[in-house]
Amino acid sequence: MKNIIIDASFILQALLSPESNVSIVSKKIFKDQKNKRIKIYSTSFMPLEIANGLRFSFKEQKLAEEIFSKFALLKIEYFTLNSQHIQNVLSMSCDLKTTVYDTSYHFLAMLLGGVFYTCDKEYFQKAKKEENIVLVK
Amino acid sequence: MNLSMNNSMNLQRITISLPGYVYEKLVKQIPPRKVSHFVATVLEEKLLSSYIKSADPIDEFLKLRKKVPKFSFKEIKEAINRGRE
Repeated sequence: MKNIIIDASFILQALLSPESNVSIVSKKIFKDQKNKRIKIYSTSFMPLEIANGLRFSFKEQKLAEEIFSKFALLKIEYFTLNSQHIQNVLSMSCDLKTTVYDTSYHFLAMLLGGVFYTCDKEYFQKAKKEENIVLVK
Repeated sequence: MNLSMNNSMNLQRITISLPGYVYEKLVKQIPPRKVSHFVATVLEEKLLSSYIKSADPIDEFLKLRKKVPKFSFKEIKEAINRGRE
């Protein structure tokens, strides 16, 4: 079974982008997961990033809370990186000149032998020489 | 129908385990003789809402696209990272 790793920007882009491409991809991968063709993973801090993104995107608190409650029902397996993993993420982020947060998703994809689905063009440009990453446009 | 009599006739006793911090909050906030009623109410609410929410979660999530304002990727990324600088 293929593993797909998603970050907070992928989820928020699926909902908040004026373009519908990412929402189409997100719908497909969650349906594929329902049909047991793939498994969707993320890091354990991704819900915090989603909450922060909502907190600073919306003036309307109720809307942000409603979105988070629907997000929380999505079937995503959260993976907590241990200190050895984080040591590797730190080295990788120094090599790639990226943030530890962004790199941790990519590292998780490498760890699980999966593919990191991101909408972050800047991260993708810096990290595309590594494998296990796809830019969703 | 006498609802209260009907309910009392269908009572089931169960033993449950709770995390310590949940138990502490429960005994602080709910009087001892009202714990069963409180737990039954919360459970019923939760079970009914999960029944109502049986639609596909990704469809329910993406339905919100119709009512939310739209943002550029740069704005989304800034919102995610805000406060970390």
